[in-house]
Amino acid sequence: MFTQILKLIRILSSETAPIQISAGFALAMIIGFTPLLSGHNLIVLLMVLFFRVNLAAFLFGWAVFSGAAYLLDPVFQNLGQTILTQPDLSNVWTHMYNSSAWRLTRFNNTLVMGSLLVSLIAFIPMLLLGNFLINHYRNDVLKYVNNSRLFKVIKNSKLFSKFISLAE
Amino acid sequence: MKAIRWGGLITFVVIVTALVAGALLFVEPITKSILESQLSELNTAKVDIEKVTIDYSPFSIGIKGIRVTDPEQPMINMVDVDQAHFEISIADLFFHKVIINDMSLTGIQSDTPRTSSGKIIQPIESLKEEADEQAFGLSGIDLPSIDLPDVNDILKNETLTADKLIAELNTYIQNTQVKWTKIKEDINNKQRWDNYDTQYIEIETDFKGSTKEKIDAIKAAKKLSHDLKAEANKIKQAQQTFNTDIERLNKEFDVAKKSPSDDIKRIKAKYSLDQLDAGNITQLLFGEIAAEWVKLAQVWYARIAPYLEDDEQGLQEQKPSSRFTGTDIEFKEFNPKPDLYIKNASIDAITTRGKFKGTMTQLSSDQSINKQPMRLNLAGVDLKQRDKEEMAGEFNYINKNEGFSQINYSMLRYQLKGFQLSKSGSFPLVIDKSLMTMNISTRLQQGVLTGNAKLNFDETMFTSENTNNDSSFSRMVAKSFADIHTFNIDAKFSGALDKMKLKIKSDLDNKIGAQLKTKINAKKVQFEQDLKEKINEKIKAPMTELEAKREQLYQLKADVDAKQQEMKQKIAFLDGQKKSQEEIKKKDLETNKDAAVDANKDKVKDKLKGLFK
Repeated sequence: MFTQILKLIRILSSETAPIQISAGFALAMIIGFTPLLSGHNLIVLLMVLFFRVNLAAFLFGWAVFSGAAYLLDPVFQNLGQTILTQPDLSNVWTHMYNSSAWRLTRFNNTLVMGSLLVSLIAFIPMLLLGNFLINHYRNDVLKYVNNSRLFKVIKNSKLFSKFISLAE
Repeated sequence: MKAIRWGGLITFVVIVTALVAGALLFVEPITKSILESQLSELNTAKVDIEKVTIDYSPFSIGIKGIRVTDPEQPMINMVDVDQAHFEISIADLFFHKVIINDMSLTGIQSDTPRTSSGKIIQPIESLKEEADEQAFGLSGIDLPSIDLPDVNDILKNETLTADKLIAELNTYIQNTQVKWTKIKEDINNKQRWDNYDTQYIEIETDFKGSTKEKIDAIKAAKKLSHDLKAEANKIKQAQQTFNTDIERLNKEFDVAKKSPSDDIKRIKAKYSLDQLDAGNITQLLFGEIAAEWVKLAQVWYARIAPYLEDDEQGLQEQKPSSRFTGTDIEFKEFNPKPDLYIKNASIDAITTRGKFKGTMTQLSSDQSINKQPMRLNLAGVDLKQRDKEEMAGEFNYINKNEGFSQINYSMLRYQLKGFQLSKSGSFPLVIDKSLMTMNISTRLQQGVLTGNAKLNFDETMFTSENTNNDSSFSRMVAKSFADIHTFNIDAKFSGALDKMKLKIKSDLDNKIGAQLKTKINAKKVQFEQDLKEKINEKIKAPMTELEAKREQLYQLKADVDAKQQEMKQKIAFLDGQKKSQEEIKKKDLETNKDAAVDANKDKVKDKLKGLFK
């Protein structure tokens, strides 16, 4: 975990485009929140590999969001239950239920529906927020830290070099 | 910055291809393993599969060598299928439905030997459940036997009501005896009665003494009379208690005396002796065999019942709704299909009777969806020892509340040889040879099985072997059946599966000799007499002992009665003496009064005379 955090700091501090990192987090949120063996996760995997999404950010995010999902599952289940039992939507769900392609996605499962809905709604905000935070980190926090005397002292120490080698 | 990573796409394609290829490569052994474990769990004994093959155009599964262990005989295969083939609709699998358009089972055999035991070691809890199930039992047909049970054995094993009542009566008498003895001792308290006697003698003496003594005697008599009346009351109460106890004792005595006849009735009912009717010899002869068949049917029903029952409810219950898995919400299906549906199945079985071929249609896990009953047709081909054997069945559970299973079975001219009709040592009877034609129709609805069986026996030869000392009876049996070559049997059965009623009628009853019927009736009467005698003999000694104890109680009562009589006499004497003394005293007073008046009169006269002198 410590290594992962170091890697994350390194990625955040690297030259990688902020959108690639935040896209990695946003896609990790989908795969982390929803049950792994669901049809849509294949698409997520394709997107991660096909687009220039930062893989380290994706893997780190997957671990973080999977852990969070354990706590949020009851909320997802209740949300899924509410959505799937909405009388206004029953026609839509019935038509989807009678389609073999949709049945493969397991949309009628309360957990799949609830978690997917939350992660899709949160996808764009997560992307934008991630982008904003990385930019803010690089422009303000990182510059301030690099210029501080304390960091300069630490940076020259042997211990710091060892930490850096762990992250590589 | 380039947004697309072509290498990533290739990686994705490689990963997916590897996954699909792996699945295709291992799908057959994985399916085999899943099928074996699932079927074994369902069967509660091992189900072995030799090989599974999967074809994709059209999608079908072939299973070679299915061996289903008999859970009760782990070294025997209950069913052994050489080859099974299932043509499955792949589109419906996406909807979690197993729709089999065509199924064939070839080379079905039953009761084949296994090379290794097919027993599954069960956890202790499930073993307990199994034991409970066995304790619940099947069978349930009460039938009389020609072999009457031994009276001495019955009396050894049976707890007689008479014994119980005698023991209770004995305890009651003992308790009463203790109670009565205490009462008697209290009534006959020596010190008290000696005191009364002393007082009594004193009073008697005083009554003969001076006036003062007489006056004292009257006072003492009053007191003694009062005390004795109190004693009398005590005795009266004791007598009331005695009378109540005696009334109850006599009632219980009567019940105990009558109890042997109740015991005889109960034993007759228990051993079905009331049904031992020589007027229905067929019931006696074929009842046991019919009961065995019904038992066999019950065993098979117990095996297939879980598959016949609607399992939709069961599936609903199995759906997980725990955390982290979610719940699958079901919506209306435009084209509803049962979860398991076999449209057509062909069966090819090899049995010891010969080959059987048949079809099964519309096998469904929920007939209310496909609206068609399951039908089964099975017919023998190249049969042994019989001309024809057929079975047709309908399993209609479209309307769940009125669902039924109907099976019709027929067998033509079965060559019956050396068939032991009666296993009784005292009633040996064997059908040496016969041609049997049988038609059975059964219907199972709401747990109640009804049906009838018609059997015709032609060209029959009976033999009777003497297996015990009663050779005259064996000869009589042989003679009675010697001229019978044709007969028929009509059996009707009905009732819940665990408690069947069976009625068997036959023209055999009219054909057998009257002598045999008389003999059977005589055996029954003799048995009842023996039983009665033995029970009476068994209770004779304790009853005599009880009678003696009752006499002792009567004696206690008589003693108390005598005491009461004695006391009555004493009270009467005291009351009489007291009364007579009081009268004497009264008379004396009156005499003294008159004398005083006369004396005064004389005095006055004398004074008057003196004045006039």
